[in-house]
Amino acid sequence: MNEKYVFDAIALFYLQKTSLPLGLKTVRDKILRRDATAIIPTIAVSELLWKKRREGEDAFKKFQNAYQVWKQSDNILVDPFDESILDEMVANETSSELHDEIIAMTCKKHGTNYVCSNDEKLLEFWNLQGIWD
Amino acid sequence: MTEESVLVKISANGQISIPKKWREALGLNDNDMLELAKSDDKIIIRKKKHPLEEIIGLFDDSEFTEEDHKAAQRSLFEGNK
Repeated sequence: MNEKYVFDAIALFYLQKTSLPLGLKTVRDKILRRDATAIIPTIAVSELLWKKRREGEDAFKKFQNAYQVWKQSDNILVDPFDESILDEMVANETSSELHDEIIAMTCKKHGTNYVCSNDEKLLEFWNLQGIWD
Repeated sequence: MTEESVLVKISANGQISIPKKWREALGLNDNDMLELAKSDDKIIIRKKKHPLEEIIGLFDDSEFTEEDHKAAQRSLFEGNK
C-alpha cells in the first residue's frame, strides 16, 4: 500500500538532512523505495523558501536545487493551496489557526491522517497522527 | 572491473529474473525501480536512484527551528511587521 504523508515546513527541511528523527527517517526510506508519497503543501514550501532566502545566496541556491528535485520526483507532490483546500476549510465551523488548518485540510483532501510534524497543537486540534521520532 | 554473466530465459510476457546473489550485492529490493537502456544489441539495466537521494545532506549546514517556523508563518500572515 502506498501511504501518503503530509509534511510541515520543518519536516520538509529535515527531508534533506543526513541526520533526522527516526520516524521521519522511516518515512524518508519509504519515499526513497517509492513505497510512500510525500505531500508537501505550498504553504510549507513557502515557509522554507522564506527561511532559506534569509540565510543568503548559497542557502537559497540549495533551496532552488531541492525544489527542482521535489518537482522531478514522481512520489513527491507539491500540493497547491487552492479551491479544493478551501472547500474543505469551508466545512469547518471551528479552527485553531489558518496555517494549521491548511495543513490539516491537505491531509483530509488526500485521505490521510499522517502528518510529518512535531507540532503538538496541530496534531491535537485536528486529531492527526504525527510522525517525528 | 570484473564481469559476471548468467543465462536466463525470457518468459512469455517478457519477464526475466535477476539472480538473488546479484540482487543482494546491488541492494535491489521489491518495488525498486530499474532503468532499462537499449544500445545496439545490448540491454543495460541500472537501479534507478530516487532524485531525493542526490540531495540528502544538502541542508546539513543549517537549522530550521520552531522560532524560524513561527517567524515564517508571521511573514505569511502578517507581513514584515
